[in-house]
Formats: sequence, structure tokens, C-alpha cells
Amino acid sequence: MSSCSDWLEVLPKNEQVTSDYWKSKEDVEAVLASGYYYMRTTIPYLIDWGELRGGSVYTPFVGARSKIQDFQLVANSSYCKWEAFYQVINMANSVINYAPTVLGVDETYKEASMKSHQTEAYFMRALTYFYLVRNFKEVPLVLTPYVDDSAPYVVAKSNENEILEQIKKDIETALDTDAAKESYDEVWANKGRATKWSLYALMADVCLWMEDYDGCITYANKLIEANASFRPVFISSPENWFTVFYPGNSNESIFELNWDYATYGQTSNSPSNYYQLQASSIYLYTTAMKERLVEETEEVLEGKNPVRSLYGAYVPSTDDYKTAELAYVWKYQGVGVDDVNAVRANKDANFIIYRMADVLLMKAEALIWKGADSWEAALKIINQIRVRANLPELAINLQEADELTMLKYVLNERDMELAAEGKRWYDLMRLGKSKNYKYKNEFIQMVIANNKTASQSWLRSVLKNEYAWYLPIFQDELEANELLKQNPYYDVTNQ
Amino acid sequence: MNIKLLKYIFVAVLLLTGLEAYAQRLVVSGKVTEDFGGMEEPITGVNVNVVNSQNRSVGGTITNLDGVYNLSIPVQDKNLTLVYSFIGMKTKRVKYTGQKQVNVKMESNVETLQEVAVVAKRIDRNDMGITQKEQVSATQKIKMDDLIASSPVSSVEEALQGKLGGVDIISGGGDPGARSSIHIRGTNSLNSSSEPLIVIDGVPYTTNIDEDFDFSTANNEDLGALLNIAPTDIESIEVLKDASATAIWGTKGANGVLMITTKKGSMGKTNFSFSSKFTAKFEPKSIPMLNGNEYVALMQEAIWNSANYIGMGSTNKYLKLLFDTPEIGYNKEWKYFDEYNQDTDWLSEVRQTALTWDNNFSMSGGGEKANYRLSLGYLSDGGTTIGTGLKRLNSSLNINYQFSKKLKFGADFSYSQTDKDANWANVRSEAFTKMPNKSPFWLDENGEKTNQYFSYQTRDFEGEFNGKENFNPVAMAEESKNNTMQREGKITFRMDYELLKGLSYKGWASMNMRTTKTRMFLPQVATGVVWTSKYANQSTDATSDQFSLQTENKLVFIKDWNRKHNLIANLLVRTSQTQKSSYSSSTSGNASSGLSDPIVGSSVESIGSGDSEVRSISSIGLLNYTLLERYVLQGSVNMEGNSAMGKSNRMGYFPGVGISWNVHNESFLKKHDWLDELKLRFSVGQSGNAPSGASIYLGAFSSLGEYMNMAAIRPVRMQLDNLKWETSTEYNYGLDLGFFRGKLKFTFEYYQKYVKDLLQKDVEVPSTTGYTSIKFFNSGELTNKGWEFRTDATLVDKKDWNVSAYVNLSRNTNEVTDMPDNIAQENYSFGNGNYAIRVEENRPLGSFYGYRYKGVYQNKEATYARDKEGNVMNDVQGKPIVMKNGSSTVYPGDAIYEDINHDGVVNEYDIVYLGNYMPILTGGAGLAVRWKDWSLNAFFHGRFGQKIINAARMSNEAMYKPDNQSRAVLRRWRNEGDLTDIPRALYNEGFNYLGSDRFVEDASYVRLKSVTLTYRIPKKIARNWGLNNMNVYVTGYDLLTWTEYTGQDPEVSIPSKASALAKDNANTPCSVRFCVGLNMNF
Repeated sequence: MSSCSDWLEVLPKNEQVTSDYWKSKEDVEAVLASGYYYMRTTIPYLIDWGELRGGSVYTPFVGARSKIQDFQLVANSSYCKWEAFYQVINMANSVINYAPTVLGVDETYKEASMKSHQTEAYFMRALTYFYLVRNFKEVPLVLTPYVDDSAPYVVAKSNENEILEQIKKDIETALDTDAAKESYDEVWANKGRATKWSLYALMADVCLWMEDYDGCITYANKLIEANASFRPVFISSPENWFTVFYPGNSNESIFELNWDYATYGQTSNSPSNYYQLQASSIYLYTTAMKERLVEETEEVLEGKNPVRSLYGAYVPSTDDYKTAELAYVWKYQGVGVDDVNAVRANKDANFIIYRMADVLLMKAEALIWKGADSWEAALKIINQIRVRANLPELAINLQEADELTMLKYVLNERDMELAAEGKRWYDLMRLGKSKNYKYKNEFIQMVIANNKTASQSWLRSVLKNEYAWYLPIFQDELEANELLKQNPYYDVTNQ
Repeated sequence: MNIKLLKYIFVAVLLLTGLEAYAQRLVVSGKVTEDFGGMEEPITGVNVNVVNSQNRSVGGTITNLDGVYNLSIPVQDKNLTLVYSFIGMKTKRVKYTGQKQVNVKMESNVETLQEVAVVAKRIDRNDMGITQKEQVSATQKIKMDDLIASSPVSSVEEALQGKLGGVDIISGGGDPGARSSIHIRGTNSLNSSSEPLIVIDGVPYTTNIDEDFDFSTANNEDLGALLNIAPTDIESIEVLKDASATAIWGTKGANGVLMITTKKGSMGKTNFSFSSKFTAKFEPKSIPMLNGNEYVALMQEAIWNSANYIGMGSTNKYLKLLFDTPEIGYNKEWKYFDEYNQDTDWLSEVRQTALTWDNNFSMSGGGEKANYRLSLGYLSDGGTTIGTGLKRLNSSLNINYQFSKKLKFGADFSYSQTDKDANWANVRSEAFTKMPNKSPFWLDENGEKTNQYFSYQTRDFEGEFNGKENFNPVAMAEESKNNTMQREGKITFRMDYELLKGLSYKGWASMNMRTTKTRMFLPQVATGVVWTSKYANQSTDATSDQFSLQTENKLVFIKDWNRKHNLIANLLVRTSQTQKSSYSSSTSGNASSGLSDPIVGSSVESIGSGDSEVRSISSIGLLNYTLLERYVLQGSVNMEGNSAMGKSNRMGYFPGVGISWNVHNESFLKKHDWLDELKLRFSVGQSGNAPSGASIYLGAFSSLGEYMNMAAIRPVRMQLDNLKWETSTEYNYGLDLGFFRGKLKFTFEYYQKYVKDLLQKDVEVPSTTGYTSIKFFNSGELTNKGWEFRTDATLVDKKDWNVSAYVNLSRNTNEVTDMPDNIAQENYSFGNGNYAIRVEENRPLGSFYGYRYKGVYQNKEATYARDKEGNVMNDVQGKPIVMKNGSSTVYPGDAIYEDINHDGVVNEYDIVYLGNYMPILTGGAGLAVRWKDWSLNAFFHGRFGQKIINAARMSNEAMYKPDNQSRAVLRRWRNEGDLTDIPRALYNEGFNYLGSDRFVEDASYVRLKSVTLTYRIPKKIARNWGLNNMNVYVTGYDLLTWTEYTGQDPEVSIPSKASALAKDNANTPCSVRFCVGLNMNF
């Protein structure tokens, strides 16, 4: 009987079949690489979802994409597809589940490197779910790989808290094994692949989102106070600020998705393709943001150069920056802060997910939320960032300040420092939702103030419904999965 | 023993055998005669053999012209028997006891035919050893000789159409080698093949087309493999329909089985037969099209209407088109003025009257130990479209050898070669729509046609060649090349060994090798494309190889206990493996017309290869028990595995049971001799359907690219371990009645077939899985229910007169009873010509949806939208709302569609069920009349109730594109008051030919498939010519068709995929054919 079954086992000659896979450590690495590869394909979504609703960056074309910034997205828009994210998750799930099976097969595969691969996969999965939960609130929580059809295809949504707890659990599991690498043999991989440091940064971000401010500070400090030789370090010198973007993989960086045209011929999905130096670029800074950038340019200390404004974050559409109509995003195109003509040879800029300035400001925000006692420490961090930007320190009378003012300081600092890095909308959402929607009105005001394309009354009425802060689930998904329920704001059948 | 005789013998021995026989041999002589009209006539050429106790020939001779023979007898052998055999005569055996002279009078076996037939029937066991009497299931057998004699055919499908109950055969059109579709008892699967299994001499024959075969692009493998058997080599065809009958063939027989038995050699004198026929094909009248002037007038009107429609303005593109299109203008200055002011009937330019020549020769013979049959055939089949045709050569040799009474060997060899020519693109549909004012050739100064093709295609109006349309059909028919050469060799070895009395072993191994080579060439002169185009002088070369090896080992036990108990048991294991590989490439820019070898092309356009292997194994056990010749009980179980599925679900178990009751053998009925047969049957059985494709369940990993220097590999296909068999359960109830010694017979069958775990292909899955679709998924249920009825009657049976007839009718109802989950419905988008096809619960497969057509809007008032009560709807300003077809506001002259939801807009929410392509009833009838040596046979075939989308009429009446239209558009709407069902001409605007019931037609028909008149040359004359028998005939095919259908041919082929639309695209229609031929035996 078994010999008969063996005879019926016919393997194709032109394909690598599943049963022959998972035989060596290279197999594990290759699937992990696919995870990173798919993460690159999420870049357009990370920019759309992280920036357009925040109003610092907008898309000048009226069309399907501009519906995001106008809060008019409907379920059949391809801009709310989550397919690319679940492809990352499937790769991560595959590595987490199948890497241990390789241990016994490939003798050169050591447990330590297997666990290290798993930590990368945990990071991938946690980060991807973190993006999903911030954009959809509730999504199906898939933790098993679909290499075969043993798991059911249709999965219902999990609630927000469950997903967030799973994210924390993944990071903790990864950290508990102590197998996460601090550095790799190859230089690009120190920033281009997940490390212990990227796990800390992600955890700090997750804690901040979950309003666990002590947790946020604890994990931020693991980075800030680290003394390992290959740790990420806040670059304090203003002259080196642009090295964060060019050539990239700077000391300050914690995790960034890498591209390299010169060596590997890779440019596809790099942010350079989307932020262009022309009026017809897919993304431009909004008028409000342009004004802030001009303002900061003028605020720069006497005798010093602007660092993160003119020729740092942006270039004006005409030579005179004060009268220029448009502001182009410079971070992903330039090679330095000095010369507008010094443009990257190839469209292969990296996309930074976490860097030290971000983590420092996360800590500052957590300190502010914690209460007035820790505001001084927060202000110190903000000023540390400002000094690097050749800006005067903020002089604030902390006795007269209130929580909202302080939050606005840190949000503004994040807006300027992390402009066009896909962070703005989540920063605003934290303001709007934290402490049981305490600053919901201020949040709505800030969205309206920045938005360039939608009418105020429309925005005000839409944003009153908190579910409208999230995206609709793509129509095809609802059709293929009968257990899925649409985000209530977009559920037409319920109205 | 007297001296005289001794002398005779002595002289004879000296004369005949010389010294060798001197001491060892005796001689027997004599004369062989037959009774011929009361006279004793000598027979020439009778085989006289002397055989020993093992029935082995130890010597032989034949009679001379006077019927006299002399045969030497080896003296050392004992127990000798003299055997006299002659074709058409009863073989006679005489015990040799030392006689010197044996005179024999042979009897013709003609008068005992009836008796022989009865005897033959009793021992006529099928592959399982089961006789007709012990049968519990629905089968029907056809003797091919009867068919061939009465209606000469060139393919098996043609022979069977309309003659078998429950077997629906639709011819694939009039092109040579077009493949027919065969469905037994309806469509049983959404995505798997519904074609029946064909078994040739016990060996399953794979005709299946590849899973991934793309029908739209190529005809590379479209040669019906079945075609490679000449009908004259076939002895009989049996159709097995229900699950208990097909059980022995495993799951491959789930859609029914056609069992073909080929002719074998027989003992006796070598028998030669030769048949030849000559056929002329005439195409039926085609749809009348507009001539050059009518066409130009139509186009100008259509463009002018569109110019008005979008509103007059300086940038009106239609006004510009109207002025700048000299093709339909009258601008004598234009350099192509003459070429565009002709009146060309394009279709007649690419048609021809075709001739077909079919010859078959066979030779058979043998002795007691061995026999053989050799056959050769050559067919040259011309096509009615220029450039099409088919040539087929086939040969086969069958040898059987009997070592002893227990051990037998056999071998079959066959080789066939089919050479098919077709056009590169569909020249007919192009010729239909080609502008009739254009000339196929350049014209010289005098306006006379030259021999240079006019291949100029204006880009703005006519459009460029796109791989399918916009070319010069005459040049395409004459110059393009699309040749497919298929060579197939088949070898089967068999062995039979009787282990014990009643228990025997039978085994065979069969190899089949098939090579298909396709060469295509698309000449630039036909397309007029620029030299940089990928279509410029494009050459394609493709080959595919298939090798399949099948084996079967079987134990058969047959025992009868005093006719009280009868037991038949079978146990068999059958394996099958098929390997396929293919390769194709095409290049463009070949230097010269006619170069079809891609190696010389300047640039490679495409290149591809494939490689696959499929294996299956099945073990089948079957028991058949008969009590008192009355009560039959049969049980079987099939255990089958297929490499398409994963380990866990690979093995399928399919049981079947059946009972039958031979009521006529009951004592209370035995005395009624008018009743031959009264038999009740019931059977139930399961069968399975494996997903098609090689190792389809396997997941695969493939490269995605790189992340920096890390190679990225990801699972590209999910491994489908849960994939299982599509299982059907079939119940069959049957009744056989026979009266008056076979003169009147009835058969009635009723069946129900329930199919579950339907195989869904390319199913969309939630992207949370990380994939968008999976290859196969089991879900959904459907049923097929129906009945079949057949009656055969001999109306007159006299010495000189014989009239017999048959009628068969079948009805099959298909219904989807459980909707498959995740079914990917064919996307429907609102637009001209589109129909929706949906799989819906409680509806049959093949249902399609569209709009209800209500005629033409006559005036402004008619265009106002109306609510349910029929009141005009007004907008907020109080003005009446005007109907819209989609986004287009309608005007008088536009098409009216029913606004089902009364919202003033005809859009996708207004589509309704329009029909289904499954026929309600199919049937056939035949009539045979014999008077002395003359006989007349007629066959009818009919299908009723199927709805077909007449896509040809749609494109011939759309008036939307620069295509030529049929003469029906001459009654198009022009002014208010024009009472017509055809809307106004509107070039490239509006929605005047949405997929609606306007183009859905009932394609019911009855067709006189063939009528044949045969004359048998009287035996006496034939014998004078040295022949055993000979007949000549004339046949007419497809002479008459009764139908309401307006297309060319109501016999529209059913799509190969159950969820596709049945459209009549005006492919080559079946021609009216006349044929003369002769058959002879000598």
C-alpha cells in the first residue's frame, strides 16, 4: 500500500515543491528575505496611510488616492488593500513555524541562528500587525502559515486589544530568547534587517500607542542608555543630519528598508519613486506644512545653516523660498543639505521605519502624558533635537504650561523632524484617542488646519465618528471571507 | 484397401511430395462442393487442414478450380482430424481414420445466421466475463459493420451521433479534423472534463486535452485522438452509462465509457476487403451581407448619427472622421480610390467546394493456432475554407497466437499519421465583416485585378492587425500556414492463461507514443503590418511528445453449477502513467514568405516549454452472481489513487451494486413465446473525478527576487492536502422488453446522478492567507436526472422485403443544488455585447443573463422614463426624465431595454435570466428498407430546447464598428414610424446591442444526417468477378435541416468549460455532402 502511494508521488521537474522545501538554513533565510521583499511592497501604503490624512503631505491629483486625504475612501478602492501586509505576515509565520523543522535536517543550522531568524520574523509580524491595527482597528489575526491548506481560509476579525497584546507578546518572545542580533556581518544588514534594537523601538512605539507610558520609557531607555558597541546612536552634529537619508543606514538609524541600485539594481517601491522634485510629484508638502518649514528656516540661529528645513526636509519650487508656491520633499532625493542640484543618481533611497530621534521624541511624549513632574525631562529631549537642527531651545515656563500645550510642542517637533517619514497621522491619532478621546476636538482642529483639499465642514462631520479615522476593508476581502465584517463607518448595509 | 487405390496414392505421393513423403506419408484426396440452387457446385480455394489432437495443424492445402484437393497425411501422428473451412461456409470437421478419399459437401452459414447469432450472444462476454443476460446496468452495443454498411462515415463520432440514447454528440464544425464534443448523461463537473472514457480493445485511450491548454490561441493538440481509428477497423462500440457498468473502468469512466472493439483475424482463407469512397462537400448558403454601396451608405449614416449624438462642435471627432475617411468617401484623387470602390463578396473568395477521398484496405486470415489482421487506410479530407484540409494514414496489425489450449498471446501494433492544414487566423469571421467596397488585390491602370494582394489597412478606420482580426482574408487563406502533424504509434501485448478450470489470468501492457508538430507562418502580405511588428512574417514552431504506459493484470473466475448458480468474479489491478513534454517558439521578421522554421527569424517573440507526468493506479473487485438464470446480483468496489492528489486523500473508494430480474425466465412466462425478454434492472454506484493536471495538489516555492543580496523565495502556490475526489453517486432504473423473436424491442432507463465536492478551479481566497487564489477547492453539489428511451422494430421481414426502424430519445436535467463557496463568478460588466454567465442554486449550468429587448424608441415621448404604474417620471424641475442606457441618454431610434427596477437607467441591475444552452430533449431515429439487393437507410438527429447566443447575428447587426453587416440592417430605424426591431446605426456610441434576448435564439433542430442507397452486387456475379461480395452506394449527408434558428447552423458546439457561454460565432458550418463508394471482399 505504501509503495503504491510512493509510486503516485510524482514531483514536477520544473518547480521547487513544498515537501522538498525547509531542508536547509538557506531555505529559511530565503523566506525571511521574501518577508523583507514584501515589506518593500507595502511602502506606497505606508506613505498613503501614514501621511495623507495627517495633512503635512498631500497628493495634488484628484483621483482615487486623494480620497484618502479627503476622508472619502470607499470599500472598493484599491488604496485600502491589505494584501501586501498579509504577504509579509505569511512569510513571518512560515519562518516562525518551519525554521525549527530545519534544525534536525541541516546539521550546519545551529539553534542560535534558527532563533535569531525567528526574532526577525517576530519583528516583521509585530510591525506589520501594528500598521494594520492602527489603520483598520480590527483585522483577522493570522498566526499560522498558509503553506498548505490545513488552516481555514476564512478568519474573523480579532479586536484591537487582542492584536496589540499579540504584538507585545511577539516582541517579548523574541527578546526572551536573547537571540536577536545586535549586528550583522554585512553593514547594510545592521539597519536593513531586524535587530534587538528594532525590537526595542517597536515596543516603545506600541507601548506609547497603548498608553503604557512607563513601558514606552523603559524600552526607549534600552536604546538611549545602551552601551553595546554596535548600538544606534543619536547623531548630535547638525552637519551629519542628512547622512541619515544619504547615504542612509546611519548610526542614528534603527531599522530601515534598504534599496541599492548600484550593486543590486533595486529601486522598485523605494520612496524616491513617489516623492519627486516636481509639481506633478505624487506627494507634495501641504501649504500649512510649507509655512511651518519656511518659519523654521527663518528661525535658524544666526550664522548657522538650516538643517532639517530648507534643503533638508524640502526644496522650494522656485529659488526664493519665501515666495515659492510649492515645497518638494528632499529627504529621498538629495545627497546633502547644501546644494539643490546635488540629487541622488538613482531612485533607491531607503525608507526609515525607526531612528533614534523618533525614539527620543516617543520618550518625550510619554513623559508629557505621565504628568507635569516629568515635563522638564521631556523639554530637555525636545531641545536636544532642536539644538541639532540649529534652532534655539524652547523657553517654556513649565509652571504655566498645560498638558495640551506640551503635547503640541512634542507633536510639532515630531512633525518637523520626521516630516514625510510616514509618521504624522499616527501622531495625530494618539493625540485624538488617548485618555479616552480627551483631545478629540483639538485633533479634529489640527486635521482641518492642515488639510488642503477637503472642506472644513465635511472633515468636522466625518471625524466625529471615530471609526472614520480607520480605513474600510477592501470589498473583495469581504466577498472572499464571509466571516469578515466591514468597519461600521463604511458598512453601507447598516445605514 | 484395394490395389487401385494404392496405385493412386503412390502416384499422388510421387507427384506431389516427392521423395520426402516416400516412407512417411499417406495421402487423402477428394472433392469439395456446395449446394448452389439445387446443383452441386465445386468450391475453389477451400482450406483443407489436417490437425492433431492438440488442434495443431500438421499439414494443409486448398482445393483447385474443380474443388479437388490432395492432402498428405503424416503417418506418425495419431488422432487426426480433417478440417474444411471457407469463408461464408460452416467449417466442417471429419475424423481421419485412414480414409483415402473424403468428399465433402459444405453448407453456407447464411441460413443459420440467426442461430449463430443466438449462440454468439450467449458467449459474447465483455471484458469482465459478463454476458448480456447477466448484465445489471445500462449498456448499449452497436455493431459497426451494420453502421458502415448503411451509412459510410469518416469518424467514430459521426457514426454514433443520434444513435445512442443518452449520448449527446455535437460536431465541432465543418473544418476537417474538427473535434466533436461527447457528453454522456449531461455535464457532471464545473471544471473537470465531462468527456467519456474511450476504451479500445480493453485499453483505455486518453483523448483528454491538457488542463492548461489554451483553446483560444492554438489548435496544436486539437486533433481528436479518436479520429485516428478508421471506422472500418471497428467491430463494435458499446456504451456504458451508469456507475455500476463503468465501475470496472475506474474513475476515468465516471462520465461514461465508449468501448470500442476492433476487428480481429479469423481462421480460414485469407480474406481481403477494400472500400473506397469519394465525397464532395457543398457549403450551405451563407448569411446575405451588404454590398459595397449599401455598406458605404450605412457607415456614413452611422458616423453622421454619432456626430449628432455627441453634439455638433468644432472638435466633433465624428465629423472629422466623416471628412477624413476616404475609404468610405468618394474622393477620386485618393491613390487607393479604385481599391476602395469595389464590390467584393469576401466570403466566396475564401470558400471552395471540397473533395474527400477515403480508402481502406484490410487483410485477415489465419489457422487454428494463429490469426492476424492487417489494415491500411488513407483519407484525404478537403476543407471548404481555402487552406484547410486533412490527410490521414493509418495502419494496424493484430496478431494472436495460441500456444496451447491454456495459453494465448496477442499483440496489436498501430501507427497513424494525421496531417492537418488550417488558416493562421479565422478567415471566415474576417471575411464576414470585411468592408465589401475594398478589393482583395491591387488593381492595375485599367481597373483589372492583379495578382498582388492589397494588404493596406488604414489605422484610423479599419484598424491594425491585432493577432485576431483586421487582415486580408484572401491572402490569409492562400498564404498563411498552420500545419499540424500528429504521429501516433501504439503497441499492446496481451496474455491469457487458464490457471484452473474456470479461473484464468489475463494481462496486457500497452504503450502509446504521440508526437505532434505544429508549424505556423503568418505572412506580412496578409496583415500589412510594419516590419517592426511582432506579427510581421511571424513563424511558430511547436512540438509536443506524449508517452503513456498502461498495464492491467486480471484474474477472472467463471463457474456455473447446473445452470442454478452462476458466479463470475474479477479481480484486477490497472496502472497508468503518462508523460508529456512540449516546446514552442515563435519569431518575427523572417526574411521570406513561407519560412516557418523560427531559427531564421530576426527576433524571438515567445518561447515556452512544459513537462509533466501523471500516474494513477486502481484495484477493482467485482462479483456477479446469477440464481436460476433469473436473479442477478452484482457488487463491485474500486480503490483508486491518482498522483494529482495528496497522500491523505489520494485513495478513493467507490462501491457499486446492482440487481436485475430476468422475468421472462420465470416459469409462469416461459410458455409465452411472443415474449423474448422482460428484464428489470436497478443499480447504484459511486465514482470519482480527480482534478486534472500533474501533481496539482503540490505547493511550490519559487523565486521572488532579492532583498539586497538575500535571495527571496516564497511559497507561490499553496499545498492542497485537503483536495479530494469529486464524487458522484448514480442510481439507474432500467427496463428491457423484447417481443416476437427480436422484432420489437424497448429499453427504458431512468437515472439520478448526484455529484458532490465539486472541483472549483482557481478559487479566490482571502488575502489574509498571503495568496489571492488557490488552484482547486472542493465545494458545491449538482445533480443530473433524466431518462432514455429506445425502441427498435422490424416492421416487415419477408424474403425480399425488410423494413426496420429505431427511435431513441433522451432527456437530461441539470441543476446546481448547492452553491460552491468562493465561486468566482464570471465578471459581468455593463457593455455592448456582454452577457452574464452565473452558476446559481437551483438553476442548470450554462444559464446566462441579460436584458429584455423591447424594440426601438419611436419618438421623444417614448424615451421618457416611466415608473411601475407607467407614469412619466419627472426630475426636480418638473421636466420628464429621459431614459438612459448606461451612461448614454437615449434618442429616438435607440434600443429599448426593459427597465426592470424602474430607475430610469438600464444598467447591470436590470439583467434577467435569459436561457440555458442545455437541450431539453435529444434524440435520433433511423429507418432501413431492404428490397432484394437494394437497401435504403436514413438517419435523423435532433436536439430541442437549447438556447444559443447568436453572436454572429449580433456582430452582423450591431452597426457599431466599421465591420460589414448583414442585409437585415437595411430595415434599420431611420425615421419615426419605421416599424422595425433594428435600432438606428450609431458608430462607436450608445448601447444599441447590449447582451439581450434579441440575440438569444432557440436552436432546436431536426436534421437528416444521412441517407444512403446501397446496391449489393448479386453473389453469382460477384463470384464471377472473383469476389465474395461487393456493394456500391451513394450517400447524402446533412441534406435537410428543420429549424427556426436564423444562424448558419443550429448545431452550435457547447463550450468546453461548463461556465462559459454557448455562442454561435459562425464557424465553418457543416457542409452538405454527397458521396459515392464501394465495399468489396475477396
